Amino acid sequence: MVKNRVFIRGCGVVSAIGTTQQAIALTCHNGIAIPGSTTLPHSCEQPLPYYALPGKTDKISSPDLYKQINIAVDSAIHDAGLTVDEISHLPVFVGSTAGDISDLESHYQHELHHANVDAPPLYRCGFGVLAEYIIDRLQSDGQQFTFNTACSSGANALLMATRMVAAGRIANALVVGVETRNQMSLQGFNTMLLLAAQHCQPFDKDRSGTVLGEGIGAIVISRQKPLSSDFSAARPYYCLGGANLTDSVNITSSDSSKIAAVIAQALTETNLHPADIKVIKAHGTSTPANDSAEAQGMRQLFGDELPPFTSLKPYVGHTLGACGVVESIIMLACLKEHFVPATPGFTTFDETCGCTPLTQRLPFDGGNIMLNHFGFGGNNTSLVIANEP
Amino acid sequence: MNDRLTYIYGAAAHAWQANEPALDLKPQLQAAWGKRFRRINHFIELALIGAKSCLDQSQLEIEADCDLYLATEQGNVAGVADITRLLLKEQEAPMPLAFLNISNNMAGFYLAQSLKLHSSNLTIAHHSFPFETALDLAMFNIANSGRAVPCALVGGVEECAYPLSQHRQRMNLAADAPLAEGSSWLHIGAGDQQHALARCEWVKFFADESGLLSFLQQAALPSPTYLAGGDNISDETAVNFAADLNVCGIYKCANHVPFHTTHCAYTLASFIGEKRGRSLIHINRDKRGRRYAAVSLSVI
Repeated sequence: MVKNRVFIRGCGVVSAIGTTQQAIALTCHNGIAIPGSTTLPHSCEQPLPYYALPGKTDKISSPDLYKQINIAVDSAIHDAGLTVDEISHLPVFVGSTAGDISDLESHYQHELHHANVDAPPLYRCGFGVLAEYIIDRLQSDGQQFTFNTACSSGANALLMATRMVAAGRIANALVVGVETRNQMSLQGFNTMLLLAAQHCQPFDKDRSGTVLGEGIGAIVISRQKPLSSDFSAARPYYCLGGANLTDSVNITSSDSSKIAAVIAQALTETNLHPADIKVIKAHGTSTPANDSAEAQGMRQLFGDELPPFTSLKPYVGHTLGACGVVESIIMLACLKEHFVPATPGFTTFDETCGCTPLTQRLPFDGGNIMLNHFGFGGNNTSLVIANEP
Repeated sequence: MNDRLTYIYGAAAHAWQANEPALDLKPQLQAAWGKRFRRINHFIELALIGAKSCLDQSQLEIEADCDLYLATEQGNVAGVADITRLLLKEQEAPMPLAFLNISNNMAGFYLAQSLKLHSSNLTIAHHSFPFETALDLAMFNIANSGRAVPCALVGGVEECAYPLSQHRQRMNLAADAPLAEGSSWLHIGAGDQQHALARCEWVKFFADESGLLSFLQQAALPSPTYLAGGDNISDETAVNFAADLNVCGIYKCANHVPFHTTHCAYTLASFIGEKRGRSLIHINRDKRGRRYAAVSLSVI
């Protein structure tokens, strides 16, 4: 089988800490990001911390989903320096949990506000509409894929796109992770008692839940090295691949052995050994059960001498189905500046985890980076990216 | 790319015309699995019924490493509509399990749990060609798998949200348009020709009609080959396509059911059950009438 190298050719992102890789790297370098807050309607509870996109109001449903997608996609395409011909054949891989629900909620709220009480709760339906929108806007005749696998959606989109480029089936791919603020996700996570009242503290003994955020990330991967882009042009990053495996026992929190299994499978798929992994970007949601399972799973695979690991959710929140793409871009933005960001909020060692994430940023001079993403429904995905040697 | 052939070992076509009130699938589900499923929604029930039927008819036992691909356009549309109404109109928070179950991949989770799978599990959506896209991805991963006998369970599942009048509105259909729910599945793999019911030849996507026709006119179609048109292909268009190609006739499922976006899965699975020794090309057009998808299979 012919295996092509799959280069990361360009990125674009819209996140709570900025819309440029430079701004994101600067925030992560400083090691601190303070979330805003959001109030749950019809709730007497205190406002919840939330990582909203810059300039957003406290509206519970984002009304400008498509505008934000355009910003991220255009930025990635510009960064990649794709030609008009390449864009016209660009396949699109979208990963999202909520899809366009923020838009649907805004529309329904508008109808109810205008006393149209019989309006259908969803004025249209279809989880493939975002990919269709992107393909249409780019006027591409490429194929479109949408992955709905909860919080591993974006990671699975990146994994499948990588496999297709590596196999030589496609030359380039645009991978987009989308999650914008919507009432359904906020109320749903709140009702499941998974939200922190104050802070996101992955792997900390006092962690009490996750903090949600919104974000859109777009990555162009390619058989072609980045040329015109300034994005790591000297030492480009590339996707090695990874694995997706289901834990069919636990619906909301994977067993540690299943997490170890997907990491092991990702290493097998990429022909790597545990010692080859230099850094891990953990999923690190800051919920008690998920973090302890993830930490134990990593220790089962790597032993007690874990590679340095960090969680990026204290910077942008848990962007759910988009996190596989958004957090990959954040990680890359930092690696390009030669550091691995610390995990803000960690202060106290937790014995159920038995390990400590990075509390200071770490210098980085290249190597293999593992990116882990675990979703509801036991959907676990582990990816590996690397530097050009 | 690897040239591994993809075989079909099991096929099940299930569709139900949607009427009010919604169909109660619990008795059928319990009969299929011999046990009760608690706290699952209608979409998950549909997936479980169709997949079990496919595996019951399959010539191969399912292995724990069988990958799962669930294709859908609308996913848990009934659950999402219910919770949206609850949140915004009734101003109430959803129950935890109701919220959890509207994640589209929950059907895949319950299937994996029931079948004791430890494998890749992907829920794939597409606005017009969900099943074709999932089948294409499954065939790609099988062709490029390092496993000796890779296999996958690929299904198309679609439900309706009630009241149906609102569902027709959101689907942009006429007020009297018949609707259906469906759960049709194929058990596919490579490496074992002996137990195969059929061979999946290819899945292709085209930017326009001329690209489709050009490909089909140059393709070496096995004889005798039937042509089936998807939901967005009128009978007249199908006849015109058939006239342009060397096919022996138009295939219509014996039990015709109306519109649902994963109808392709229903047609392919029905054909495998009805037409031994025959081949099929299934053609569909996207909702805007521009792009096309085509699937070809040969029944052994």
